[in-house]
Amino acid sequence: MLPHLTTILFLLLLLCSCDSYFEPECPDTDEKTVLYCMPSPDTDTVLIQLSRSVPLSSSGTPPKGIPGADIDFRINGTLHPVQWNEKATPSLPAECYYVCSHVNEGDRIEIMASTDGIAPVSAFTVIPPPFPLNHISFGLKPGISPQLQIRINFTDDASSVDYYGVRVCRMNVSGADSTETVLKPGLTDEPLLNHKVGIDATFDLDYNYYQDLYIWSDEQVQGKEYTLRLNVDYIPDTPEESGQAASGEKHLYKVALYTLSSELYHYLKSVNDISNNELGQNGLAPIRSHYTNITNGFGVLGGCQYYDSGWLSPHL
Amino acid sequence: MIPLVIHLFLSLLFSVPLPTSSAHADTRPAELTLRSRMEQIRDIYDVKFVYDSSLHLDIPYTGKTTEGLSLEASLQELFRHSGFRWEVNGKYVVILPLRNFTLSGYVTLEDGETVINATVIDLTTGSGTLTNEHGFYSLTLPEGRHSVRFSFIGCKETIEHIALVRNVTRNVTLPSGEELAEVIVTADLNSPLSTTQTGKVTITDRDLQKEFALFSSPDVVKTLQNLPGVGAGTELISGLYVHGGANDENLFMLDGTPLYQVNHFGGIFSAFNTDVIKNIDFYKSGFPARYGGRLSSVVDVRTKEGNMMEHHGSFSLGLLDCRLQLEGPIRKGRTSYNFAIRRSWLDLLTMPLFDIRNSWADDEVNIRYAFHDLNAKVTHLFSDRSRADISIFWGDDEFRSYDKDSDDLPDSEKNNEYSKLNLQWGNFTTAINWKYIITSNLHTVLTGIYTRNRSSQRYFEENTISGDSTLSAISHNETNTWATIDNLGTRFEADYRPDNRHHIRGGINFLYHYFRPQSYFSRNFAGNHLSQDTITQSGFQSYRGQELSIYAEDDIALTNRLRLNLGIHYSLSHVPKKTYHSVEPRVALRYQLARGITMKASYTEMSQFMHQLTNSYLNLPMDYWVPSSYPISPARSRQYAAGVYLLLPHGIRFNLEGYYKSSRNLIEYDGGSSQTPAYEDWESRVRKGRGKAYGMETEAAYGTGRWEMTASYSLAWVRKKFPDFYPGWYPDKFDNRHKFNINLSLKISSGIDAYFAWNYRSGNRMTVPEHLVIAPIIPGIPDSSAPQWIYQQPNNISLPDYHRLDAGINFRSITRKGYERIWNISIYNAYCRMNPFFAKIEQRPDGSFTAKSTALFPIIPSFSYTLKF
Repeated sequence: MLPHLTTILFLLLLLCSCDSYFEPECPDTDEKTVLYCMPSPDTDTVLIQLSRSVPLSSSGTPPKGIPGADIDFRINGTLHPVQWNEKATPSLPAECYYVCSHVNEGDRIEIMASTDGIAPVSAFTVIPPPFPLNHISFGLKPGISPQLQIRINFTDDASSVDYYGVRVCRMNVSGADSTETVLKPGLTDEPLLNHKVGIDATFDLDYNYYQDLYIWSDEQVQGKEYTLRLNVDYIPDTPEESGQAASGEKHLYKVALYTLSSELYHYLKSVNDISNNELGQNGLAPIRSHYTNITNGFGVLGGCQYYDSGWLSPHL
Repeated sequence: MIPLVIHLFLSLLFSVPLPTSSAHADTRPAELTLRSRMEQIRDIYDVKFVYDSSLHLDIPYTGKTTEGLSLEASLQELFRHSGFRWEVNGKYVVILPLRNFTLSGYVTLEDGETVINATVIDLTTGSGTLTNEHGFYSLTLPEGRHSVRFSFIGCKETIEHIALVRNVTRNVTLPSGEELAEVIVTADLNSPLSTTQTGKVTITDRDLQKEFALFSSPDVVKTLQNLPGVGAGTELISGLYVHGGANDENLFMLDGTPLYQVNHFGGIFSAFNTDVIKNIDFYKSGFPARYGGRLSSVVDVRTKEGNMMEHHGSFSLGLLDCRLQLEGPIRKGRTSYNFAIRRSWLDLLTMPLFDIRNSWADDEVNIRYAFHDLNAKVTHLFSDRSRADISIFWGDDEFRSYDKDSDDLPDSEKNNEYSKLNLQWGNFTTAINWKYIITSNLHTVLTGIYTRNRSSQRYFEENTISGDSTLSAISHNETNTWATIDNLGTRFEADYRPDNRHHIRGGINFLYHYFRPQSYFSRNFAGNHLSQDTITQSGFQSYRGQELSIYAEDDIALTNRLRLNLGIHYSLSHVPKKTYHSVEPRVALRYQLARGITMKASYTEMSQFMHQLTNSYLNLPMDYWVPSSYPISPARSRQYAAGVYLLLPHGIRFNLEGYYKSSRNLIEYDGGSSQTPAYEDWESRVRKGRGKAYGMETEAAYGTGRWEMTASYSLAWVRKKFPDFYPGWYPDKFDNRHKFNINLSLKISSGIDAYFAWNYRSGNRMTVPEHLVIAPIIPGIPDSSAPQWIYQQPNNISLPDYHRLDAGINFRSITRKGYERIWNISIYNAYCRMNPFFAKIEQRPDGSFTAKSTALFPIIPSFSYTLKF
């Protein structure tokens, strides 16, 4: 019904709408350094993306990376060498910097970077603790469209302000073939992630998360044990027919759980809020600026830890 | 005779004989005084003057010579305009000070309707005053004969000849008549040349009838939007952005009762039915002390009491709505009623259309939207001193839709889907006023009010799969959200005019607020006949608060040229855990440089104890109000304004005003992309900031009986500073640098009049991204993101300029039964300028950037038919 309704209303507006182009009086801004770095104890390589922005007054696409930059990377005050990676490898993208070093919970990471012609940038972050997972389980939610409910039980640390994230993937395995899909879970049963009220709830307006990483803060569950409930469409496994190995289909699920530093959480939240603010992008609602902790630049230096559950079978 | 003897005796007892001329030998001949003239008369007619020694008789005498006149004629000439009266008793002439008496009463039209802002001038002394918002006037004059002129635009002036020997109550009826524009302008004490306040605009019902009527009737908010210094906001939405203020910073009052929701139909109509409006006093600076509670403007709307003599009414049918208004006496000359209802009728058209559609479609769909408002007022005159009225306003918008579908499934099962949505918002207000004249110069009003503002959304969706007797599966989703504000209050106002130099107003106002900013209930369940998984969520937040305000103001005539309006407004707002106080001085000064040239200046402070949380510029009905609370301080503003007001040759009126306004403790909602601000923990989701607005505005008007033209221009800057959004000052969304309006109303013939309005303004501002950057790679997630836009300074570009021409024409005729019939044809945006409604930045194939704007409102013709009976 609601798509029906919104379509009718939208069509009514579009019937008389008229588009035209105009040249905006572009804000006079210079290009800025863009720095992304999300150190995590889960790997021994810290990726540093260093790029330049393209101001609205110029043209082109932003470079993936700027070689030849002077980057100062410190863990707890100790300098670590930074290296340039030109071509993509299985663990690193092309045109980026990296540091071969291990970081641990509580480490303070500082970066200073400078490139020719642009003001130097700097930032710091602290590596957060690991995700306080108790267990992951699955349940079936009956109904018109039965839902598989992924239940993630965790206990929040009462002594700190924590930020979390979750990402769910499904793998369909049919014989030797497999396909992976990143899922967009239904959040109707999950008040930590479902903040829709009023019009947003009534019209079920979309709210998409960057890279489908669903993030939340411990504001509502401070110091408590809690079970997060994510609903995904239930697709029952089909058994193999006798003698036909490739005829059956199995569905496996992988849950990636993150703890995020305050900087990374606020950065991702601002990215989500801006990308979902359709009215704001059209000038009909306020739109806020991106969060950044990069002094003189854009981007984020934000520590994180993640836990990968591996592929799990629901066994319902 | 006996009183005269007593009087004479007392006068002799407490008087001193007039000194002989020798005692005043030092009096210089050049200084002809009243006393010296009395001495001459004493010598000529051999009389003795008897008077109280405290009388000050050494005042210059500037009258004519009394040579050759009789004693009485000489005395008459001598004491004319002296402030003394005389009585001859044999050889004694008793001199007494003139006593002051008060002439007071109500000014009404022929139908008994009280007149607001009517001018009352004593032609003998030149003293004058205005009727207040209840039609009451009071003029203190020296005893004696006076000719007092009562006038009001659109009425024939009335001159009353009154012999004042005691306080007189005189209710005056003004006959209707042709407009006498030039005469009225010079005599109108409510014109900008005469009022003390800066930034005051008065709009009468006659003015409203000359305005452009979109769809059916002129609109109050859209009329105000055309004024200089007032921003319209988003096109066709009833926004009001006065001197850089936000849309929630306007105090809308209907007969003294505050209104929170002033929109119908997304803002195409405002909640004020022009059929019942008598007068609107609009202030954008120089706020008198009797108003408070909002930062940027006051819109004081007063409605008609209804015809006390005859039953009348009107019926109007427009493109989107129809109106019915009835008025008349319940008891002739004593009790009147005024009733008006307005309702949209688009749903009467859509319902059969959907019925036709549903007759052939598989599913059943219906969508309807309707709004209505109802105004009712009953006024009763108990006596010349006492009158009371009760008024009700009820305005509501409702949007309903439902969809029903049923499909046959295998195994004799059916899939049934049903969903419905109901959105509703509106106001209900009621007020009881008792007006009582305690003394001839003290008018009081005691008021009791109740208001309720509410908005609600209900959504219900259910999907079932069922067989003959079994429920195979069910999915149920139900969401209710509602917000209400209840106000219960009382107010006492006193209007005291001790003499013609002072006009004192004072009052106390108490409001009890009960806010439920957003209540929420949802229930979802899914399952089958064996088991159902139910999730219920609810949230309820309420605030109780009290608001008390006390004010006093005095409009003082310091000299004949200089007037001062001095006032103070004190407010107390109590909410849980916190009590806020605010002492707000209000000063306005008017100096009449010469006839037709007036200069004014004002300084005002205002506070606002409630705020509307919104996350869009669309004035959605689901934007709800919250009170200042423990962490959220009241918003405050200071405004300086000054101006010059001229009456040029040929009756051309010209005003030039400048203003500077600063605001602090402003709040903006920062709850992400949600269109409905979340109710939970709203205090943590708002950001505090400051604002400043400055500029100048000018207006010129010229009119004859047949046509009238007004042109206005505003040059304005509006800046905001919210450190959480941007470190520096940035332009406001509605920082429209230039605004220009020309209005022309023509009376082509006795049966045809026309209206044209051309509006121009610099485009609204919008926020566009300033940089394109690569996207970040999150550990554990493959790199797959496209470049991202980075937003920095809010409202960093301006949309293309906005302009449009509106035109309308009325054809009036009289039916055989003597009723007035009006056909109105109006055209909105006559030359179909496609003004941008929204815009978006796009990247061209060559990598450069451009902006794509979308316009929604082309030329919109409309018509209406009105019958007045």
